[in-house]
Amino acid sequence: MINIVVALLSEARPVIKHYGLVLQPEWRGFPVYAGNGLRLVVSGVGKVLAAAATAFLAGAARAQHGPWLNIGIAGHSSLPIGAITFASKITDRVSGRNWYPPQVVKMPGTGVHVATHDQPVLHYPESVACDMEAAAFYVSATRFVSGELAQCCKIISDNAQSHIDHITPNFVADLIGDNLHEIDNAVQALRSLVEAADHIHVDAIDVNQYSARWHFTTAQKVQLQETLRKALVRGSAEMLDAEQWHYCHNAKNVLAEIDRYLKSLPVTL
Amino acid sequence: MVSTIYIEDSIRGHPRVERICSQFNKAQIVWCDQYTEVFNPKAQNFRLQKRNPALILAAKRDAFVMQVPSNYGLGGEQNYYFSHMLNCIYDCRYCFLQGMFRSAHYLLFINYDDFSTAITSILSDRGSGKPAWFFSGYDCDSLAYEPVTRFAQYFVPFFGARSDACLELRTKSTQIRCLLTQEPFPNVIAAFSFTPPDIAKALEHRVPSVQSRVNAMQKLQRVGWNIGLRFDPLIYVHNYRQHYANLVKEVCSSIDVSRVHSVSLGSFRMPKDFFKTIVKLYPHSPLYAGPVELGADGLMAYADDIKDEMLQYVTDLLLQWIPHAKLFNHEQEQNAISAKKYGLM
Repeated sequence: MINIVVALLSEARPVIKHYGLVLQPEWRGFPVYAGNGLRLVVSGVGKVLAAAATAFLAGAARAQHGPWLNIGIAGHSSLPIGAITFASKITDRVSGRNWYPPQVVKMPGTGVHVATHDQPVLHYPESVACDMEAAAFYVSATRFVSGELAQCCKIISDNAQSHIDHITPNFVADLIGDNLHEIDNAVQALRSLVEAADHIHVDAIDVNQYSARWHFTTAQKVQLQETLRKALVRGSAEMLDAEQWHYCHNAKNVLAEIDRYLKSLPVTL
Repeated sequence: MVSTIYIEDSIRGHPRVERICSQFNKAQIVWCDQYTEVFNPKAQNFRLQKRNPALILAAKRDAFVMQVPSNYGLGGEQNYYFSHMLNCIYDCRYCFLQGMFRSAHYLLFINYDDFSTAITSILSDRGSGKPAWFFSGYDCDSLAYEPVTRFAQYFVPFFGARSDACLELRTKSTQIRCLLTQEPFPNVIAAFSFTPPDIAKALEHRVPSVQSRVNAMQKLQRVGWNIGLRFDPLIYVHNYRQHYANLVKEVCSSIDVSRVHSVSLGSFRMPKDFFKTIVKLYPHSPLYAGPVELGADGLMAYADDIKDEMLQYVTDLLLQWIPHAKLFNHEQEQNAISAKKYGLM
């Protein structure tokens, strides 16, 4: 599941339409749209709302492992209106802190330094894209996933020649709509990482069969999980069936028996 | 091919930076205040980054040269290591770097002059005595990234000009051109690491084949360079004897063993915390589901019976080719140190 965070409904609309996302009325707090392996939350403008909406989506959807994408508009001194960029460096202008989202997959457009401000920017610093959410989004998203899986896509909406006063909801929707192909490339690139990330993640092995039969202390449960992981890697899925150790009197016996069995297996790579 | 280069602001314009950037003229340049901002953050996944690592160019500020762990020497009285680079272009599943660093980016310290000044200072302070050893392949492969780093091009002549120091270049690579194009120095050793081909196929990714490494050693020997053999880590599989017998025979019969500088070996071992980190990164790796346990020395390693048998077996194989004086069993030294530490000797 890919999680998308946008500040404005006008930014969201083309994405919602393109992917056929549907409003999820049961979600209270932020509007959430979902469908086709994507979830999109509309955060509202600014750092506080961006961080809150990201955490909201992560918590409510238990979306810990999916990639995250922040899509939005930004100002830049020289890049043309409509240019699509991604954040290779993010700075929170207030704290001065920097983050560098690792670029493992190809993101659309050119990499830019995105500076997140508390207020709209009227004087553009050189070679820096100015937005109002990226830093907060990134900090919040990387509480749930590693940085490779949290990326920001920014489309230039204003620059030194064309200031923010021309920005309207329809204009924003058009900017995003014109870049849907590139945005989709980013989504697909992140999807390719999902597989790798899923492969790394291993759900806790279900040891209920074991704990229903014997009493395991917390430390013994950890040991059991680790021993069963090793058994699975070494091709002994049948070890998950606790019945085979029916003759054991307690958890300690069980662990010793599994260990003995593992040691009897030939070690291969 | 590197697609992103992070560069510290403070080394903007440094000739080595300029040269490296020109080698990657399509790479995106990202300026940073300090490399630690990129390399150290917690929210990074080594395994995902290994799919496309970036290059970080930075200046090292302190701790240029460190004393080696006490079990790491080659008979010298004073042993040091220095790391011009952190991380490696190869992807060996047994490598402790996966557990030590959060980032898989290649971090290159470009201020070689500061390293050489620190080395000179150490050598000046210590007075006379046997030459001190300096190991360069602890946190990276010494030669694998030579076309970019030109590390050997700088440091080999530096050490070659000194009689009070020896340099070990530890490598699995075949990047030996910089050595072939200069006169050999007797105090510089090109030490090649080996794992049996079938085990290498399973665990060493993007690494030149055993045969390619043997060919590289042959070329170096032919023009007079000292070479070393490193069988560390030894990897246990149920039929390891067959694998290591074939490997030792293949390597030792292909080179002039009488001119081998040194051979060292040690079994797979790793600090517990690194091991745990790597299990999280590679939960499906058979290497981390094998007969490895926590030892009294705080290292995750093979059970003593497996370890001792394997070390003895490979030692016996090597002694058929190499005199005892050239063979350094890092594991036994370490066991002796651990035994002493825990009052067992």
